[in-house]
Amino acid sequence: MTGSDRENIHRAAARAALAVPGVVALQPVLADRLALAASRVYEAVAAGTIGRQEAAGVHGEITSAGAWHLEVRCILAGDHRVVDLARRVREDVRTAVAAYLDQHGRAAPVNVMVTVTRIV
Amino acid sequence: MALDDPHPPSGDEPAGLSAVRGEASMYSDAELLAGGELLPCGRPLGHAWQQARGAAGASDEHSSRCPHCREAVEGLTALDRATRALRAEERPDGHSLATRVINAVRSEVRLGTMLLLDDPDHDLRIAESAAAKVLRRAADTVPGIRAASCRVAAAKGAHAVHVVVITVAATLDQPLRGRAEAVRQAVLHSAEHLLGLAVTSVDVEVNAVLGRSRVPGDDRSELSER
Repeated sequence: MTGSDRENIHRAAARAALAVPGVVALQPVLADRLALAASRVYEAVAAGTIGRQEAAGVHGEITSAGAWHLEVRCILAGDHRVVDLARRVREDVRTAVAAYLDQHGRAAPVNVMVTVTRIV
Repeated sequence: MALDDPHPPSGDEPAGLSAVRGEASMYSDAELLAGGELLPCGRPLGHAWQQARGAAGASDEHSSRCPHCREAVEGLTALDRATRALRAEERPDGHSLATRVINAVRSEVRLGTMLLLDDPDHDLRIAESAAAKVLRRAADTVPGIRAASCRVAAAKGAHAVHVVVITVAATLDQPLRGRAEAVRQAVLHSAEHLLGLAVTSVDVEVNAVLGRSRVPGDDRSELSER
């Protein structure tokens, strides 16, 4: 698993989450926010092939059992029931990431945790 | 690694390891000691970087085809780019950087604890600050009430069931007991229908008195005293 593979999975998860109606944005995890604070360095790095900015609200890791565990941090619109929207995000992200892994011959269980950080 | 290895590779070691040893022996011990890390293909990371910068001769067929060497060079390119960006800053402003870092950490802390939404899989969460904002707004819908603060926490012995403590200011034109009950119902309704958060109890504290607005026809209330 290379770094770019990981980024592709993060990007697939981010795109699936943002495609859910009612998801306004993804909120970066603290590590990415700190990178954003040092924005010039961050932009320099993000200008390369990493493409981290797009998936800054997604954090993923592989468990010792070989499953993917992803956390997606969302900002939601206030005109939807939060738990219903979070469930939709969970299902769509899980489906998108599982499809990506399957396409690349690395099928694995995918667990998705959705964290709602703000409602606007 | 010993500089003078008294034990030459034995003939029965795995072929892959022999290949790695053979490849690695092309580079000086000093370089291995200085660079330290070996790539999975057997080449020292330091050599891949030196080659990318032209210090170790033109790139050979291995380095142009090996995914490990290419990835190492890509990482170095990103690092070089970041270094150039930092160097390009005429006067590094450490204070503003520190402020941005502090603000990032503070905004993370302000999210509060993460509360489990009412879902059997227990993998959907909401920040306490986001939930409290919705519940304060629910309390504000009760006439003569203005919410001041709201805390939401997991109930003792249960992760996905919560208790709410909401502090409000109220006008005195209606009995407070009825007002508090209206606030409680509004909070419970929003918790279930807007959030999907299991709430078992709502404690309402009235800690200030609201005076009626002096503007005729304006039904907003203003805080008069604590």
